[in-house]
Amino acid sequence: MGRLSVSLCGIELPNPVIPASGCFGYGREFAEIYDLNVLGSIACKGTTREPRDGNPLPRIAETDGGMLNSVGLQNPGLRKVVEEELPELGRRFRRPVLANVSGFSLEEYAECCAVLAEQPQVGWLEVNISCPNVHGGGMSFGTDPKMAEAVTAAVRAVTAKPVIMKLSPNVTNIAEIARACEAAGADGLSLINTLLGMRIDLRTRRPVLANTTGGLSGPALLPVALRAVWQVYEAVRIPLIGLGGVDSAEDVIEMMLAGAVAVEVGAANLRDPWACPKIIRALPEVMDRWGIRELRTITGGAHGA
Amino acid sequence: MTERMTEERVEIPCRDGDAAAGADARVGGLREAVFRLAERRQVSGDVQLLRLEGDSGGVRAPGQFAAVSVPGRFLRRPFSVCDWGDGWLTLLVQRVGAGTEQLQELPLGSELSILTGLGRGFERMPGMTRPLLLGGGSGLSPLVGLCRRLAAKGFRPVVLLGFREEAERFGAEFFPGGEARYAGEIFGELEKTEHDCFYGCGSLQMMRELCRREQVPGQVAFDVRMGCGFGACMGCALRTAGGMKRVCKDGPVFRKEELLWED
Repeated sequence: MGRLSVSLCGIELPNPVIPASGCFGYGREFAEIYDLNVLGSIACKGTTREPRDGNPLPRIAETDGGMLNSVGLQNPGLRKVVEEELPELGRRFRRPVLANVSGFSLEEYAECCAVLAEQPQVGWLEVNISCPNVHGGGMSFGTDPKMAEAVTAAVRAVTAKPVIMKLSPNVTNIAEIARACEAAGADGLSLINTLLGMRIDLRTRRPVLANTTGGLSGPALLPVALRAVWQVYEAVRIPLIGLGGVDSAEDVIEMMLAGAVAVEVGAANLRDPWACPKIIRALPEVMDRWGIRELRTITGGAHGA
Repeated sequence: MTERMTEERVEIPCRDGDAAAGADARVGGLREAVFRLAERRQVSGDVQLLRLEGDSGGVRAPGQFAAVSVPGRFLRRPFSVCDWGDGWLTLLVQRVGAGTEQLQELPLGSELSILTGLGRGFERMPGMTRPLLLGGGSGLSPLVGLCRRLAAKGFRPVVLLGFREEAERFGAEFFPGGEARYAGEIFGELEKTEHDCFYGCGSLQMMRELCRREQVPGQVAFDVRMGCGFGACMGCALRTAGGMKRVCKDGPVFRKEELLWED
């Protein structure tokens, strides 16, 4: 075990740095420019049962210290992911990955997770519950503890592999959502997903995004993500993956001190394709500066005795 | 099969990725380099031509673009490579927002991180003898490097430049190897000009209209808001005749047929 290694739901990672879902595709573009095996793991682009084209353009807007996206879960669908993308990824990355799943009904979540869990490349299911429930009047699964519990239970029932629920910050009480997922059998939680935001174009006097609103990513999110990880760490016992605005080795350490066992890095990859390898390379020296011998010992360290 | 009009391929390991990943050096299309802003020329009211010096080896074909980091801004800004050579490239920057405004005011000598090797560029079309190049506004940018390379291969392209307002016009002097002129009504002008293929660059709307009207083979490039610029985020994906395509990775150059789809 090296200085950087951590364990996530019983699976060992050489370091805690994981590219976040939606910011890394299935690794193809990054595999062209560096060896993916330097990464702790990879959270793949979210998969839905059916292929999705996603939203009309524009899908991207910039903000101070971040960006908005309304991509709309564009993905080739479960079958193509299983038949092509995962095997391709498996040729480029030798260790288990997080298969990220989105759905619009309990049954869709269950089906996707059941199929993905059977794939040899998949170490964990990461379940994105920021999607609207088409049977629940379009309300997001992740904003209601009962619905979050129901999704967790539905996924729990179909696999023995570790189930990680990815939480939305667009809620009044994220600890409550976290507890509901834990109670329903989640093995871990990843938080936070994007914050809901928008921009308006002064020239056209219309929203910049064709979808009107989108998800805010980037450094602006970091304090919100840290606060959420902090609160959830105090509310549950299952391990946490922290994400939201992580941009540096220092941010990784900060996120782990808040309560994370591992850390996902998302939007940072979009402005610097080498963001993750750079963070990993910088960690030992930054750890030395802050007196950290081994990363796996600092999880929750900011919470005091 | 179309033949890529690429520069000679030189194997250079990726700078940062090489160091970060240890021994494994990769030759990817995408490359990052620091460029120095060497020269700026105001070519019209809101457009500047910037000359940047640095490792331009990642640029492989006209029509590709570069993603420029703007200090203090989150996302890189994508610009077509206007022209390039050993140790330099030029970009046409139109002031459209905060990032471009900043770039236009950056002091000479400033250093900028730029990703190159982005996107699919223009390709030679089989049997081409009389290419026509058509630019909409600052869309003329990638046509400059294209025209120079076509001229070097013995063609004499006609270049039609359309602008919304006469006062905005610029750039006819950027095409010494071609016959460049401003067109009042560009599609009318297009009809009167003999050609057996076309290369266009301008707004998506204009390019679609061009593709609709043209009977001969052609390729077009256009700009959209992008996220990463290298194919990872799906921020720029668009429906084409061949399904969803990323403008940054599967484009920005598309063949005429790809853009002809029913809305």
